[in-house]
Amino acid sequence: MGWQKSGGRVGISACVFILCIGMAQAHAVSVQPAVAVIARFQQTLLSVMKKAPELGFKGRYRILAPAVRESHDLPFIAEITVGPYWPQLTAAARAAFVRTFTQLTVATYAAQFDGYSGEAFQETAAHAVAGGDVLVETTLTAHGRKEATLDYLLAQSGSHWKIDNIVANGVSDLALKRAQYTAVIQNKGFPALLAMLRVKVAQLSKAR
Amino acid sequence: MRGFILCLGVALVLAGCATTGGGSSRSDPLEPMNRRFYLFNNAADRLVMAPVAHMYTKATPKPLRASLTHFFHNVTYPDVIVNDFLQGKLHQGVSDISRFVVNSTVGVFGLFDVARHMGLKAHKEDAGLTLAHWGVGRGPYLVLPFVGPDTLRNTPSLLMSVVTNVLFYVGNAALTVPLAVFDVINARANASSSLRFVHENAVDPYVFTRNAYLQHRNYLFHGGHLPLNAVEEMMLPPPLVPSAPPPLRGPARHPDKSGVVAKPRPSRDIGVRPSHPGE
Repeated sequence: MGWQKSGGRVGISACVFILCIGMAQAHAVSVQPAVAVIARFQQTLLSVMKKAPELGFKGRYRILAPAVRESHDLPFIAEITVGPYWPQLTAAARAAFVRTFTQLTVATYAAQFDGYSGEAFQETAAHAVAGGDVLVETTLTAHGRKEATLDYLLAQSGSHWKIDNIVANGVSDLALKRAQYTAVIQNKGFPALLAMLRVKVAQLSKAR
Repeated sequence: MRGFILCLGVALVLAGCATTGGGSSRSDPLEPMNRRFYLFNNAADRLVMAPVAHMYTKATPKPLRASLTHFFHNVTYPDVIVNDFLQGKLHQGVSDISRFVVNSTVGVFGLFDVARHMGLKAHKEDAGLTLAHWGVGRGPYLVLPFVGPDTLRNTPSLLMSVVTNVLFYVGNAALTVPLAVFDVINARANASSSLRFVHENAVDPYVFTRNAYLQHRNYLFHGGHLPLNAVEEMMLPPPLVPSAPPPLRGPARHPDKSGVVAKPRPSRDIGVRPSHPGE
């Protein structure tokens, strides 16, 4: 009887152990593709930074455009940034906004990552978070010294994992854009916002 | 002085009440005044500080600027140490004392950050973070002339950072005044790339600065590593207009009636997350 009891306990323990292993594997499986997206994107950024002077703005833009489109869920991010005004936009206005927003995102990367001085990205952690999304935490270092923390929130879009938001040193890119864009729409209207974003793209495109 | 402290205490308590559950407009009830000071600061920066900082950057080699930055950081470091202990962070306080002593001696008056190589990393603490630590509400967002973004809770930091600065006790104005001027110019030069980023990317620089400042303060409140739930919450900001937004102006005013509208993604939770507490 004692043997049966202890055998039962062993059985339960084994089940719990196997379940834990299974859950750990499921967690690893769910997080790994998102981590790979970030690693690939940051690798592209680094390679562009290292060749920044030869490439110039246009060269950097050309390389980064497909990498940004592949790794960022730009239509979704664009929708979130205009918040409650999105349902009021016409299909044409939405398409124009997503197009301009995409150009602005790529142009911002191409303008900002314009040189290399010993920078490196390091993944520090990855977690499955609410709604099946994944948070990938990374740090940006320069000559081994920590410059910034960069946290990426990714969600599954179709069969791909894509970035929905980036939090740099605690500052959410999505929240910043949304606060500004909704303020501009509220005060000046959507056409004014679109015009301002186009001006920003043109200004950033003048970078070397 | 007692009256001032009492008034400040009452104001902070009221501010704490005023901001519970605050959204964007609640956390910035002084926006009209803040925007005027923001424009004033921008003009002062454009006319005076930016050209001076530009000349300073041109005239000084990068290693010298880096050493001056270390020096000014080190003379203000007692502020961090005092606030470590006021928050009950004893281990961090001891580490920061060691950091200050090492950099002030081996690091030649703080010109070199030797402590970093010994594993004594720098922390960021101030009176505002200490008040936040003890549960004082953030209060309204402020833009102070010649100072910049701030919150009511953080205003005691202005005084405390002065009285904890090593230079305050040197007592030789011929030395400390030029150093204080250099400190301001050096800080402005260091901020050039951030300010250029705001100028190049922000469509509403005031809103950009306010939100970035408040979020970054929250990040500092959490010791430079936001807890997972805080990151999740901040991923989607609270809605600016909780009910129906005002109608759009211009050509996009009328919704498209052709039926060719992009389908919203119902699986995503858009704009219904609560605002995050803390700073």
